[in-house]
Amino acid sequence: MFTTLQRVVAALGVAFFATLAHAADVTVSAAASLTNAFTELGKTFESQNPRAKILFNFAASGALLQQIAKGAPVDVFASADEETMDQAQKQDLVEPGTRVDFVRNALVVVVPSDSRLTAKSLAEFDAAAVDGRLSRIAIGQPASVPVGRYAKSVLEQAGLWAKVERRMIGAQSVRQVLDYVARGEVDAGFVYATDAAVMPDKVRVLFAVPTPTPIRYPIAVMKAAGDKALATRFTQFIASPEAQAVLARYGFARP
Amino acid sequence: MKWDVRIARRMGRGERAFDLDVAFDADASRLVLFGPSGAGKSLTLQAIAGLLRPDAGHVAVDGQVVFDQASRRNVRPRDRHFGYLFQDYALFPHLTVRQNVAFGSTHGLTNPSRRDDVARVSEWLATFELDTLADRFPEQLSGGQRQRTALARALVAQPRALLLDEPFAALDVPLRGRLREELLALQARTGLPMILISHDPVDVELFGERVVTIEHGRVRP
Amino acid sequence: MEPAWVALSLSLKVALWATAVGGIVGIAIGWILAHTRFPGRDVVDSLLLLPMVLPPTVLGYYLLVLVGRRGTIGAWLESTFGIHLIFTWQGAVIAAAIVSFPFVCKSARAAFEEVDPRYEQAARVLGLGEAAVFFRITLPLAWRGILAGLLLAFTRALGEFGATLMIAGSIPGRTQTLSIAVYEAVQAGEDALANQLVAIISVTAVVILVAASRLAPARIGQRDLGRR
Repeated sequence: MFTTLQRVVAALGVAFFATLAHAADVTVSAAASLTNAFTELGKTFESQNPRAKILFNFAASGALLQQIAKGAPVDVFASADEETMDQAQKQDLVEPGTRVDFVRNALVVVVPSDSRLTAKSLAEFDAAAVDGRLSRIAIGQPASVPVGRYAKSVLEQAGLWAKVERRMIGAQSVRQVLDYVARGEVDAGFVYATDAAVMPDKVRVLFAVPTPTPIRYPIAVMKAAGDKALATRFTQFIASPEAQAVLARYGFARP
Repeated sequence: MKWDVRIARRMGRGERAFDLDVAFDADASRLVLFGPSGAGKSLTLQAIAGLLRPDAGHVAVDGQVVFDQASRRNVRPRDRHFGYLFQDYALFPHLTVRQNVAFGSTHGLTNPSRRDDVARVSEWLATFELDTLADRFPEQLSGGQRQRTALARALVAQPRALLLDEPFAALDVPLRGRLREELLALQARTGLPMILISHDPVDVELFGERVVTIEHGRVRP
Repeated sequence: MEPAWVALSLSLKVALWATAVGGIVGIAIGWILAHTRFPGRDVVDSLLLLPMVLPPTVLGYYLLVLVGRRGTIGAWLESTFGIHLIFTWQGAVIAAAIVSFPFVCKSARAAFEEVDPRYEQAARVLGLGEAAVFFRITLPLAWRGILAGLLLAFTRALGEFGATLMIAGSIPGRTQTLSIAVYEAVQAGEDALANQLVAIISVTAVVILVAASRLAPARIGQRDLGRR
């Protein structure tokens, strides 16, 4: 009935599209700062739920939101600040009743491990910027990276934003800020405390920056989720004491 | 002009190799290298001009050594001061007749302009009746006009001898006769020594003050 | 000046410089490959095409490692000249030049090989040195083929993203070229800006293609081009 050619094309089509929809997949878009912790937690979840497979997508929260808004089939979203999740809710992407804060983080300033800077506060930081010891400062793009937004808001409150902005090197994610500092391409960068802990030999924490509101990470199931029950099980797992212990090991505090 | 030529060179490899092994001594103002096609005449002329480097031997002109393998001496073509006429003239296609003829008058990094008016250039253009064609491009010229342009170009560079590779082969028979006479007249007027390659016995007759016959890469004794 | 036009002028500036730098290097190397014969020549030829084949991010990483502050070349540049290429438009030019010069190299070599060597010999016999032979005979006769390569290089440099982002970052007005600006706008949810940028890139691409088809007709490297 069908020619060989038709059969070949059909087989290719099936092969190409078949892997796109696998019932027990949970696609999790998570903030870049969660890369290490979530990768480990994903494996733990899979071992406890043999049918499930967790697919991670790590990037800056803003970028992840754009993907979801444009129709990416994401089941769970974990962002590094409330604002991004608020935007997701405003765009009616979040499944009601599933949003929960699961960790807290802190903002720190890091420098390359061989740096001679010794500032202990933003004020001293300011002095260093003025006398030229700080000519390049990496900050996540405020429009899409939560840690960059936090940095900008504390600097604005301290009246330092204009000065720092001139020396700012914009990064696509918190991990890129970390990378720039680790490589020595910039003199300092604003990252989360948990990120600084990822590369203890390459970067050194200069000082912690108090933020006006605590940095809380929310996680939620998306409206477009395939298997909502499984997705919800994952978010509940993340909030469980067992996952919290793992997150604490990476430096995340309780919400 | 005394030509002392002794060159050896292997062209190609293995079965298709061609061994050039030419040696001759000549003292003449008109030397003809005669022989069938593929004999190695062009290669010999190129070696004399410095366009081909022999594997061994030496070339001396009027006692001045321009090539000697043993002492590693090899004078570059530009310093040998020979005029060379290629078989199909090799006129520069992107330059006008005037620019072609004037080419050798400047050694800088830019070509002579189209409005070049070096005296020598205009004189040779006039002598060869090329002045009306001065702004044409080589592709617009006839065979005889191209030959004359090539000759004028070689002469503008004020060479001490002319090396001509089959200068008449590309022309039709009536034209050949005319240009032969022109070349003879030119030589009589300027006294410029020349080596001429030809496989045409007529050229041997007219130009062969001294004839060297080359066959299969060797001089026939 | 609106961010879109800033990005466009920066993209053009970087692409023009990259084509100039890559062009000169590509022409020089193309000439060497066409005129010399040395053992391993074909290996060198393949290696030179590597930037065309390697993923831009791989190239960007290699460059970052070499040219970054702690890299072999980068450290030397900084200690000798005080030059720091990362996050500068000059770094963007280098990234773009490296990905685009193989186009020039390839077409330059082909174009030079098409030039009848007897023209160069005639020029030598008439008293010219090698440099003069190159500028007065070889280059003018090979120009058409080289131009086609230069245009390809320019369009490639204009669209360069991966390696540029790694080396030069995304600094508005300094290194945020059009392609990177689109990426940023999409990430930030600024659709209106993204649409504007994409429109500009598309129009620019069409203009270049039309100009290319006028300047360098499809018949490149014809045998009779150097043999009228």
